[in-house]
Amino acid sequence: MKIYNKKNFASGLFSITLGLALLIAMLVTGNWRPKSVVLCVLCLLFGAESVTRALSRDKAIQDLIDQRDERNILVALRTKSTCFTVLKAALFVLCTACALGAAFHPVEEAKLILAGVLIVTGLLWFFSLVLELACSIHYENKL
Amino acid sequence: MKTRVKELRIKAQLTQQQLADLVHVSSRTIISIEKEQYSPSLMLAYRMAEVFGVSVEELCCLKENKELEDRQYEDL
Repeated sequence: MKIYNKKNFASGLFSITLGLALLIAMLVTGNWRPKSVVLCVLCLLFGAESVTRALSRDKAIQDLIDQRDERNILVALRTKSTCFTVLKAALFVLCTACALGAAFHPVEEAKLILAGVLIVTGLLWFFSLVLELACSIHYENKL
Repeated sequence: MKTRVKELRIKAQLTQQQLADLVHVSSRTIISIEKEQYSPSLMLAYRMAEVFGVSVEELCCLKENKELEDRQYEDL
């Protein structure tokens, strides 16, 4: 038995372990919630599929081609970039809304809550700016 | 970017999947190249050119694409 794709094999084993752990937990507690059952089944199925693909030469080659495919890599990069940009913009809008709300809301308690949310979203937004700058400097030097 | 991939692939009697397997990419990439939605990298263009027995310049219509780009710069 040869493992052709170690990464997929490891993730498959991890999913199977998770699924089994959930199954054991449900058996021990006797609590069979539909959400947990579905999650357990999905984990086991995904894990089994990943392990099967990792042990099959043809499927492992196909997975490797998909992972290294230049168009797939570009799509993933663009997706992450757009996601980050949208998230940054959303944080900024949320910050602004919270700031205005904290300044002009008639109820004092609401002002406090909005101020708290403003601090959290403000910090996240600031962190995203710093992160972007750091990544930009890193890739300017690397490429 | 305009290419001759589809024309040469049909001439060579290859399916998109067969061509994808020969140049180690997914068939989705070949589809995108033929639809002019995606420009192949230099290495991929070279691999495809080797399969079809043509030069990269011929495969990617480099002269034509360069003239198109130059016209876009002139229009600015």
